[in-house]
Amino acid sequence: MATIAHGDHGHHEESFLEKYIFSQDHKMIARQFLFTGIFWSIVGAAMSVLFRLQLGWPNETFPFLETLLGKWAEGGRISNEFYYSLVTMHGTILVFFVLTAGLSGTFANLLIPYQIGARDMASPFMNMLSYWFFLLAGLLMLFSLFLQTGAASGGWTMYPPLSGIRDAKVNAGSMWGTDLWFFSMSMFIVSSLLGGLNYIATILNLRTKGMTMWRLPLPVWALLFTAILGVLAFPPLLSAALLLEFDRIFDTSFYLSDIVVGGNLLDYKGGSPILYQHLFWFLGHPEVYIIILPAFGITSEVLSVNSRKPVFGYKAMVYAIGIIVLLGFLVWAHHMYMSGMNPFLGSIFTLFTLLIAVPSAVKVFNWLTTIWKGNLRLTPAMMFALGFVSLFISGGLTGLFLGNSAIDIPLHDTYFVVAHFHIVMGVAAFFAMFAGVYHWFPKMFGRYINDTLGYVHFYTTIISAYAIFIPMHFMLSLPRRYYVFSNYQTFNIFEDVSKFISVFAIISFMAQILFVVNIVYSALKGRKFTSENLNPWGSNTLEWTTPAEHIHGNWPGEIPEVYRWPYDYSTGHGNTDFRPQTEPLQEGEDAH
Amino acid sequence: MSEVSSMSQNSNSRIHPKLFLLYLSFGSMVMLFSAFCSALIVRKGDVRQSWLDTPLPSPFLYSTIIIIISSITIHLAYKFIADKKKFKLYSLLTLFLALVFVYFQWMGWSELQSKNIFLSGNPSGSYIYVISWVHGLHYLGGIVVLTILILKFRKIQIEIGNKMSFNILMQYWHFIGMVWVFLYLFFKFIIYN
Repeated sequence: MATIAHGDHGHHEESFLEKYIFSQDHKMIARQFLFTGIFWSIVGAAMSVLFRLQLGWPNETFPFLETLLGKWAEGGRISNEFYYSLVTMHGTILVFFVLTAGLSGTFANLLIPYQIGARDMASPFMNMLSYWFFLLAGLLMLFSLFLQTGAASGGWTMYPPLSGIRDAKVNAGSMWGTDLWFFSMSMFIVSSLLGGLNYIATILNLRTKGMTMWRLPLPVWALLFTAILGVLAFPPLLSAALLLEFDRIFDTSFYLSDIVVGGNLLDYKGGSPILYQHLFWFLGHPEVYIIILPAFGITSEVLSVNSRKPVFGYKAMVYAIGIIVLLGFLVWAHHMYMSGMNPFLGSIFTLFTLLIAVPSAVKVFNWLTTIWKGNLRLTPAMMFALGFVSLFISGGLTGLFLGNSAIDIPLHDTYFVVAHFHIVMGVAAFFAMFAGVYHWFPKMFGRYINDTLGYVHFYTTIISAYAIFIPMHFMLSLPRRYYVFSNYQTFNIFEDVSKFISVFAIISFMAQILFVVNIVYSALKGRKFTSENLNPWGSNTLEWTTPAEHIHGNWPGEIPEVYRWPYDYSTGHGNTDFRPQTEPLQEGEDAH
Repeated sequence: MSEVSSMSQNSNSRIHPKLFLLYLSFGSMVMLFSAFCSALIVRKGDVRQSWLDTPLPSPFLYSTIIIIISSITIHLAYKFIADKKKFKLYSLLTLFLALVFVYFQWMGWSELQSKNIFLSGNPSGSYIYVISWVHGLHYLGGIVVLTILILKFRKIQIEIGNKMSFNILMQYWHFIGMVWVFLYLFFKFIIYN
C-alpha cells in the first residue's frame, strides 16, 4: 500500500501521516472508523455495566466504584446524577458513534468502492474530513465526561425543558455537559453529511463497466438508501440543536415557556417543548433505519454467500428497503403518542408504523427462504447473520405492539420499550456488524480472524443478549428511568430478575472484550490471507478480485468489468458453485 | 479540495462529480431550511403559546432585490469567464452586490432592534434573526469562495477545471439566492403578514 499503483497520480511514497493518520484511502478510513467505533462501544458498554450494577444491586455498595469515579460514586454507590449521565451518554454513544458512524462508516468505506468497482470514493478528501469530524465529535463528547459539573444527563433525546436551561440547579450536566453534547452532535452531523453525500455520489457515478444498478450487491443498495436517509434527516436535527442552543445560551424561547426553577419564574415566554420533539424525531426515527439498513445489506450478503444460494427476491429486497425509507420519514410521531397528540393524527402515524411491518416481513421471509435448503457453512460470520435474523424477528414483533398508539400508551417508558429497541436496533445491528467484521476481516487486515474465539463470542453474546432482554419484556409495569426502583414496594418483585439481567450484562461485556482481543490478536498474528486463495468464501462480489495486499486504487491494472448480478450461486454451470461477477455468461446461461 | 476521483476512469456520470455532490448537498440544505420553516409554521399555529405580531424589516425587501441582481451578475461573470475584462467587471460587481446584501440584512436586524424586537424576546422575532443568520452563514461561505476565485483568476489562465469551480460557485449562488427569495416570500405572505 506504500505506493500508488496506477497511472493518474503518478508514483510517490506515502509518509506515515498520509498513510495512517490523514489517509484519503477508503480502506484505511474504514479501519479508522472501525477502531474508533470499537473504542466507543467499549466506553458505551462499560457505562451500561456501571448502571446495571446500580439496577441489579440498588442498595449495595461497591467500594471500587468510588476509587474509579470519585465524587460521582461516593461510598461506592453511583450517585443519582451520575446514573442519569451514564444512561444519557450510553444512548448517545451507542446510537450515534457506534451504530451510525461505526457501522456505516466502516462498511460504506470498505464496501462501496470495492463492490461497485471504483478506485476510491468520489471525493477522498471529503471522506477523510468525514472521519475527522467524527473524531472531533467524539473528542468533544469524551471531554464532557470529565467535566466537574458532569456530562449531559437529560436523556439521549435531550428533550427540553430539562435540557434547555443552563442552570446547575436543574440537573448535573446541565451546564457545559449539555453544551458539549450539542457541539459534539453538530460536528457529528457534519461528518454524517460529508460521508453520506460522498457515498451517494460514488455509488451513482463511479460504478465499473457493466455494473448496472440491478447488479449492485445488496450491501451497496442498503448503504445507498442509508446515505439518502442521512442527508435528508440529519439537517432537521441540526436545526433542532441550534434552536435549543440559542435557548440555552442567548435566552431565546423557542422551546421554553413559563419555567420555574428553585421557586423563581424564569424569563422564557412563548416556546413549545413539543416542537423540539417533532424536529428531533424527524431525524430520530429515520435514524433507526440509518442503523438497521446497513445491517440488512450485510446480512443478505453473508447469508447468500454462506448458503451457496442466490438471495431470494433480490429486487423485492431493494424495493422493501426503498419502502422502509419512504415510510421511515412518515412515522416519527409514534415516539410522541404520550406527548399529547390529536387522536386522528395518532391513528395516521399508527397506520404508517404498522405498514412498515410489511416490507420488514418481506425481508425476513426472503432471508429465511435464502437459507432454506441451502448448503449452509456455519462460519462465525454466518452465525452472527443468522443471529441477526433471529433478533430482528424477536425485536420486530414487539414493535407491532408499540407502534399501535392504544397499546403504546400503557407500555410507554417501561422496560418493555427498552427490550424492544435494544433487541431490534441495538443487538441486531451489532450482530450484523460482527457478521461483517468476521466476513471481511481478511480483506481489511490481510489475515484471518480466529474462528474458535469467534464461536465463543457468538454463543456467549446471543445467550447473554436474550438473557438480558427477554426478561425485560415481562417487566412491563416498571418505568424505565427509575434509579432505585426497589424504593417502591410494587416493584420489589423485579429485584431477582434485575440481578439476573445485570449478571448477563457483565458476561456480555466480557464477551465483547474477547472479540476485541480476537481482532487485535488476529490482525497481528492470525493466519495470513495470501494471493493463493484470494476468494476464501467463494464469493461473487468484486472485492475478492483485488490483491491480498492493499494497494491505493484497489486494482493494479484495469478495473474488472462486470457481466452478471452478484448472487449466481449453485447455478449448475461451470466447475464451482459460484460465478463471480467478472465471469462472462456462458453459452446457454441466462442473465438473472 | 483534493481530486474528485479523477483516478477512477470509469465514471459513468454525465455531470461532473463535484457538481453532482453540490446538487446532493442542496437536498440537505433544503431539509435544513424546511425544518426551520416547519418549526415556524407549527409554532405560529400553536394557540397555547403567545405569539406577538412582528413586522418584517423593510430593508429585507431591498436585500431580496439585490440578491436577485447578484445572481444575474454572477451568471454574466461565468458567461464571460474567458474575457478577463468582462469577467473582472461582473465578478467584482457580484462581490459588491453581495456586500450590499449583507449591509441590508444588517439594517434589517437593526430595524428590529429599534422596535424593541430582540433575539431573546417572543419567538416570533427570534425566528427572523436565527433563520436569516443561518442563511447569512451560507451566503458568507459563497462570498469567501467568490473572493478566493477572483484573486486566483487574476493570475492564471482560465482552464476547464477553473471554469468548473466557478460554475459550482455560480450554481450555489443561485441556490442560496433562491433560498432567500423563498424565505422572504414565506415570511412576508405566510408568517408575518
